[in-house]
Amino acid sequence: MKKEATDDEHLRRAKAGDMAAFEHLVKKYEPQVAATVIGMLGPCQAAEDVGQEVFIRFYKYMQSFREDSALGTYLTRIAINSSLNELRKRKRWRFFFRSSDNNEVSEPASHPDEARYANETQRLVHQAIQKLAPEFRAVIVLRLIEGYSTEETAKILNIPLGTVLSRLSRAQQKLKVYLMPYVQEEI
Amino acid sequence: MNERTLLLLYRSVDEELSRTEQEELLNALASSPELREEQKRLHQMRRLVQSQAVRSFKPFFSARVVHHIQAASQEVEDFWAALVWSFRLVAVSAGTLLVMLLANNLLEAKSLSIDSILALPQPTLEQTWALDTLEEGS
Repeated sequence: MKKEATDDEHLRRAKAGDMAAFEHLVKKYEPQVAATVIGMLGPCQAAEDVGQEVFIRFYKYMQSFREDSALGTYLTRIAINSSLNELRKRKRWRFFFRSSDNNEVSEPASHPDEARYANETQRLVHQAIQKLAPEFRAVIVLRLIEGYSTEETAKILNIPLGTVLSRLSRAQQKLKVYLMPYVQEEI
Repeated sequence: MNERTLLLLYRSVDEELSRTEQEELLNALASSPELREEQKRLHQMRRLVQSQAVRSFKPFFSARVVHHIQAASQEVEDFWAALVWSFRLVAVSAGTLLVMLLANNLLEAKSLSIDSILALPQPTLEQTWALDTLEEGS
C-alpha cells in the first residue's frame, strides 16, 4: 500500500522545484485560506486575487520557511495580513473616490459574487461579518471560523490576549444583533 | 439579566473565568431563564457562523496559482535571455571593431611589431639620445 506523503515531504519536494508537490500543498490548504480571506473580504474577485497572492508569497519565501510553526498557521497569518492590506486599500480607494454628494463608490473588485453563496443563510452570515470593523472581523474569522484558540489568535494578529478577548466579546454582541432573527429561527 | 452577567456569559465562552466569576455566572444562569436563553443563542450563533464559512475559491484555483507562478518565472527567464542575447551582439560588434582597428594600424605602420599594431608612438632620435645621456649620467 502506498503511504501518503506528509506536508514536510511535499514541502521538501516543492523547495527542490517540484511544482506538483507545491500544487498539492495549495489544494490541501485552499479551504483554510479561502475561509480566512472570504471571511475577511466576502466572496468577491479581490478575495480570489488575495488568495492567489497568499500562495504566491508562500512560494516566494518558501525557502526561508522554518518548520517551527505549522504550515496552516503560517498561511493563515499571510492570509489575514494580505486581507487587512486589501481592506486598507479599499479604505484609501473610498477616500479618494468619494463623490461630491458623499456617496461612496465601491472598488469594482470588491463587489460580492452572489453566486458563490450556497444558500441564503450563508449570504446573511457573511453580510453580518462584513458589517464588523476589520479588527473585529479578524478575531471572528480566526476564532469562530478557523477555530484557533484565543492565544493562537493573539499570536497570529500580534496583539495582546486581552485585546483579543475584548474584541471577541464586542464582535459577538454586534453579530448577535445582526443575526438574531436567524438564530431564533434555528432555535 | 444585567450587563455584568451578560458580559460574563460572553467572556465564559472564550476564556476561563475566575472561581468567583464562575460562581456568579452559574448562579445567574440558575435564576434567570432569560440569561439561559441568551447562552443558547450565543452558542447557536457561533455554530451558525462556523458552519456557513465559504471554504473554496473558484474552480481550478490551484492550477491558476501554479500557472501564475510559472508565467512569472518565464518572464524573468525571458528578460535574462534577452539581456544575454543583447550582450552577445555588443561583444561580437566590439570584437570586430577591435580587429579592424588593429589591422588598420598594421597597414599604416607597415611593420610587424606590437608597438605598431597597438599604434604606440615611436621615440624620436632626440628622445633616444636624451635617454642615453640620462643613463650615462646615473
